[in-house]
Amino acid sequence: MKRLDTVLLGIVFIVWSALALMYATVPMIQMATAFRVWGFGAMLFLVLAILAAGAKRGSK
Amino acid sequence: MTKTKSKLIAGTRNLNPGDKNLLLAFFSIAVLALALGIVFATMTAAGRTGLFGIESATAYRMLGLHGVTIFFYWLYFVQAGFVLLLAAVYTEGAGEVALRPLAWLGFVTMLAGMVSSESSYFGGTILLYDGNPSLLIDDPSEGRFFYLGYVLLSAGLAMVATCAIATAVRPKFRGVIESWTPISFAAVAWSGLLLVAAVAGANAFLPPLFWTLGLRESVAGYAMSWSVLFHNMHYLPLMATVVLWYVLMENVTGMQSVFGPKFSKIVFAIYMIFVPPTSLYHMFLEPDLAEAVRVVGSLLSLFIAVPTILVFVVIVASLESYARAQGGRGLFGWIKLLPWRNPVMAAVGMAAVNMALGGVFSMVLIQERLAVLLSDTFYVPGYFHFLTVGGISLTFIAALIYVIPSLTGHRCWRPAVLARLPYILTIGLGLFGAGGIAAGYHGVPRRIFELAYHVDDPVEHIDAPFVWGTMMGVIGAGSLLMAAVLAIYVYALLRMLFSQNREIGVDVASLYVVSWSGSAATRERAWVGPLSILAMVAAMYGFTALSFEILQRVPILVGAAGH
Repeated sequence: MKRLDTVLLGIVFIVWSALALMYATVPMIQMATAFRVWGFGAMLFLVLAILAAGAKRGSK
Repeated sequence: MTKTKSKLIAGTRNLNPGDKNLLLAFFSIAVLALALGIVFATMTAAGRTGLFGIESATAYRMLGLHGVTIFFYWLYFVQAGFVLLLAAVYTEGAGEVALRPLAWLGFVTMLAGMVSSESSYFGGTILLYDGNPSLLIDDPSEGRFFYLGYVLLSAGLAMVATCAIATAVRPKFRGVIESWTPISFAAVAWSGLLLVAAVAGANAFLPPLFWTLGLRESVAGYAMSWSVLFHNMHYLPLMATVVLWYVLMENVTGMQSVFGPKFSKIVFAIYMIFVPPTSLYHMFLEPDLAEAVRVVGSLLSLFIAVPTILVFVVIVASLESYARAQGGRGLFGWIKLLPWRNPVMAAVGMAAVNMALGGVFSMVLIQERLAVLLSDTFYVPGYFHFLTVGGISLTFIAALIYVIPSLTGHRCWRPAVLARLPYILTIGLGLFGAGGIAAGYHGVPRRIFELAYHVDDPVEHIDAPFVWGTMMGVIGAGSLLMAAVLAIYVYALLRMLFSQNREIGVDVASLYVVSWSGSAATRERAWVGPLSILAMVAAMYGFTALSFEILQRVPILVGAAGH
């Protein structure tokens, strides 16, 4: 339970990053500028995962 | 009556006055937006069905205002309030909203956005809620305030979501907690998706705003940018709804998930994982989309309902287990033990039914070959009102019935009346939905108000099908019933916001509930949740097959636009 928050948010980061990369690099999907949105989301969930992990180390 | 030990009520009451004022501001504007949306909806329905005289051009404008007011401002003001509330109440050690001045700035920015969007209709804009800039080719300046409103809404939402995340994260950094509760985790994920939606909003609406201001030559790729935003806008209220079901059921029955808090967190995380991959189906109406992408998009779209179904199963299985531990018998007999006299329980119960109906019909629409045929017909409003009114809005209203009196200290207005409204609303939805879906199969267009036409051909005279008028009559009756019920809800919420009358209504903590917390429920049978899903899948298959059968027999010329 302690690490679950970080692990789950990290998985979201990985999936969103992969999708953002695919949207950016596969023109056939016609979602090139969606890369900005999903890419931002990936970075956001990475930050949240880091926050959750960092906070855990600092907790009593 | 059983006295409830509701964490939601107690936690809300314990918030400091500053936070209460902030949350009341969000919920008051949400109720105002709901009230305006109902008025615009009634005018739109009048234009479509001829209930009373209204010009088509005016009715079209009312449709635009209805979509903007409900889909953007009602749903996002109410979400902003709840995401802050849940982060503050369900994060142990939080106690208050973090960065409250930023949250107030977010509120003011969102409110400015609402004023800007609504006022654009009085300035002559002809845009519908999707803001398609190609409609402004003749005079782009007509869309300035429309797009400005959406950009301000996006900016405000980003501020509010940041505050909600800060509220949940702060106790971790202070060392008060090691991990979030499932609801706190859901609030963080929900806030994250709100932030992403805000970026998607800026991505979609800044280019047309600059274009209408004369700062750029044209707007390229709007359909795709809108699709990404629109996809987020599907998911956000759905996620909010199931999180609130989870919260409300815990508060009216005392149950905890029989699958444990870890599984609940995993399910809420699955919501986030399934958001981006399922977005492809919004592109189905783009004529030059590759066939392989259409097939992959169709397959991925089948997964869109998975997280919602998982939460539904978790909640229903937990309720059934607890009810059986209390002596509930028979496949469905345990359902009678639920506190149906509580207006919150009645609303959530019917919201689940309506969501299931909407889910079944939405699965028909997102099939690649059916999307092209049905997307510009009345099928679309026919099915999605089950989701937006009967599922999502009804759940938000249920939660407001608990939360507003807890914030104001006022009484809950006539719970016996409120407990009956969800059933009447569902009858209205049934009429509207059945009429709308049938009208869609018969080709009734969804954004054209003057349905009559006549072609004087030398060989034959062609008129609009007679059955179109009949269906519009059914849709009109359903619309009026829905509007009447929602108007009563708005009145009740306004009473809870502003009336200090101590004689009408009851203390919200005295609403009828059952207290099943602590009862052994883990070894009980729970089949209704999984059986409901099987029934839903069968219905989806059946209606998809039926749709193919119907539409293969109809000679149709297609010229579709995105939805």
